Amino acid sequence: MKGLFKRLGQGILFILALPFGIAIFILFSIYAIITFFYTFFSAIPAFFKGENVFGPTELDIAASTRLAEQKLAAQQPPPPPVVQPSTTINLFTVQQPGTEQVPPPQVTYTQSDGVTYRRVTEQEVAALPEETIIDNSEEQK
Amino acid sequence: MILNPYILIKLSESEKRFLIVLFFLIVVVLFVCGLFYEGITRFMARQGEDIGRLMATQVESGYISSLKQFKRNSYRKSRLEFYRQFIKTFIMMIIWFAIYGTVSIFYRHWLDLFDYTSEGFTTLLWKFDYANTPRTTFFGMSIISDWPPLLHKPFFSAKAIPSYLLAVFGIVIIILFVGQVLSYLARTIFIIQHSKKMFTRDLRDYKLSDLSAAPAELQESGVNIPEVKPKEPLPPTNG
Repeated sequence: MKGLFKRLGQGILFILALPFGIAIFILFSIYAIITFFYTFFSAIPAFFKGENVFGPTELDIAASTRLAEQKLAAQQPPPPPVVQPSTTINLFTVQQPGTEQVPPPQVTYTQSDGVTYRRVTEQEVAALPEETIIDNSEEQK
Repeated sequence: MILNPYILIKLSESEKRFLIVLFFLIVVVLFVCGLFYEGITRFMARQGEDIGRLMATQVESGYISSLKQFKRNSYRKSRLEFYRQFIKTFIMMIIWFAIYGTVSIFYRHWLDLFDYTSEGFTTLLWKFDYANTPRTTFFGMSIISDWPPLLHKPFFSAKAIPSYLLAVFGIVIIILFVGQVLSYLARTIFIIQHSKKMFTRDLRDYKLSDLSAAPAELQESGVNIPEVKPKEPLPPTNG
């Protein structure tokens, strides 16, 4: 019932606005026909100059190009993250069976290039042959 | 003394029936007009939104930066869109007039499309004698009381075949023309109504003192922060 009354109200509005609507429509029709002929006659000299009045303008082309570039940039995958050189230090202790003294922790260094260096003990240094040991103190003198 | 209004208005049975029919007739006419109103409103709203399709590329690319620039470009686009639509209707109009002229040459006189006796499309319609419509007096007013006398009954005339075709063709052209002009009008109204909204910002609910989203140093700087009066100590209360 509410919808029916609303529709009847719109009908009254339509009847009241109809004369003004027809007047506006007739005036705008005249304006539209004038613009049609203006466009028609302005297209004739442009045609002989080799221009296209109805084609895309420079702004349209620039806008389309910019949108295409933005779309292309959005489709490309993001660049890979930059990996900084880093050093991983692993600390772990090996419990020797039957010994009361706790051995020093074994320390290894892993460089970013994958090479692993291990910290050696004094006993291991002493066991090395003398030729392999380079004494820097003599060079400094 | 209280007057009963029903005593003052004495209606005959035929007048009551007439009033009931008139009431329902008015309701039906208003309902149909309401449907027309709704249809035209929806059509124009849909056609007005066509500006979005025409201007989407320019607006989304960020090249449109002012109201004047938007209006100039959108009016131009709307005008060219009307031209693209109307050029077909215009060619159809020229063809219509060419057919009409050619038929008139064969008939050796200008074809009367509204002639209901032999060659017009109105031979297929009823023709009433509106000048002699029966009238009656109702509450002092002279109103129509019956159908007008019938002057002509519909019949098919071979001589009127070009008129039938031209009438159908003409109705199609008129419908196309009305639709295209209404579309052009709707786009123009849309540009006038909505272009300002694109370049204005509603600041009614904008709070200059709200720095909740600002960086911490700006919040601590005291910029745009309203002055807050220190609370006065409340007097001690007993109990």
